[in-house]
Amino acid sequence: GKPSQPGMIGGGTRGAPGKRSGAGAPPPGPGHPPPRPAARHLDAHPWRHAVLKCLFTGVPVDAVARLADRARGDGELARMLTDHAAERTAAGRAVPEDLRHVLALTGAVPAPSSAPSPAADHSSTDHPHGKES
Amino acid sequence: MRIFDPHIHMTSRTTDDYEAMHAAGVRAVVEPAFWLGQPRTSPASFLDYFDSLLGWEPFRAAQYGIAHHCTLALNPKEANDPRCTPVLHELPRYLVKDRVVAVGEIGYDAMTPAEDKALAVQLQLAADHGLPALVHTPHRDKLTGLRRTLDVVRESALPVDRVLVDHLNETTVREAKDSGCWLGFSVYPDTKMDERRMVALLRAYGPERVLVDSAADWGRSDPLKTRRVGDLMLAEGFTEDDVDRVLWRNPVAFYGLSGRLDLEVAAPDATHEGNSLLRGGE
Repeated sequence: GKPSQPGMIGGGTRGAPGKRSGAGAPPPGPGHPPPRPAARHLDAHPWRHAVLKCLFTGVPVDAVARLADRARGDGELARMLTDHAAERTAAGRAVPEDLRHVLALTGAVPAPSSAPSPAADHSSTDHPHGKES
Repeated sequence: MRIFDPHIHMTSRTTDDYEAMHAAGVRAVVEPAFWLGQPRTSPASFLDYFDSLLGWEPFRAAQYGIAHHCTLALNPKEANDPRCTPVLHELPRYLVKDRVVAVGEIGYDAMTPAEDKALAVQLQLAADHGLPALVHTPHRDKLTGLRRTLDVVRESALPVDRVLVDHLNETTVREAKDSGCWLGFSVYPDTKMDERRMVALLRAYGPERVLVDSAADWGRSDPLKTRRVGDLMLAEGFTEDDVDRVLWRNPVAFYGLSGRLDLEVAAPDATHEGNSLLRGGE
């Protein structure tokens, strides 16, 4: 496994091995970022909402672990993305490029690109209002 | 132009806003209980907040000639936190208070089973207390959220004509209108709805059962958006009676369903529980 942090497990200067409960799991701290992407812990429904939340708040979807694997063939995600694109289009607002990207990954037909591009819309994100999150 | 803002979070606003709102014609507001940005960790912080919406905030509003009522609830987002849900047991003793004119805001955030439960429980509380309900529609997957909301309302003891569904837009207005509920539109500087789109929707769907609010809070928002909508309605050919209907009579009719609406602004007391708005003075 990973090297122990000095002085905590097996370092021999302060604690003794086995004294700390949960020994065996690497201790959190600098140099030990959480090794597991959050995506592994999310069921399909909250994961889809997390992807939508990225689109709402302008977080690049590249940050989503295993995006292509999970999106592939996800018809419900495709429906949510298509509805969101329709909502933006009905409001006269641009559809975020990342939405088209994720929709393409699902394997569904791309969102229409005929959305009007209103002069007033300076951004493809929502200037995230706090309650969006 | 007399204005009733049926959804505004004044706790997050300054007295400058109250002053500007009064100058713009706002004479009444309803402040729904909602998420404060910083997650709560216990029912106790809800109770202090409810007390504030029933005490301190009406006191502040009265200083500026504005009648203040509130709606109380466990909001959809915090319905997912088991540290917060016990507040549902405290709500009944608050819902009997004079200035509570609805249960709200309730509804969906991420459409989880915990949110299903909180919504159903609180619709029942509204029915039990003779109150209407203010229902928020979710930001994400809004149309699905509206349909699920209306399904839960139809299964509840609360008649749909005692429900105001808020944050509607072009994709949700038709189904909401067909359901028979009241139609709320939150007009923001951007995102949800703007005044030009609002006027287009009024032209397409008519002013019946339509309420316009600013939903102003601690985020990017504008407490004068109600006035902007009224001004644009007039500029676009609506009559003063249309404007009065949307910005005054409709919210009065909806919250009047509680039987508790009192639009007389009493002469403000100098202090509330010994405290005034004057720093250091009291």
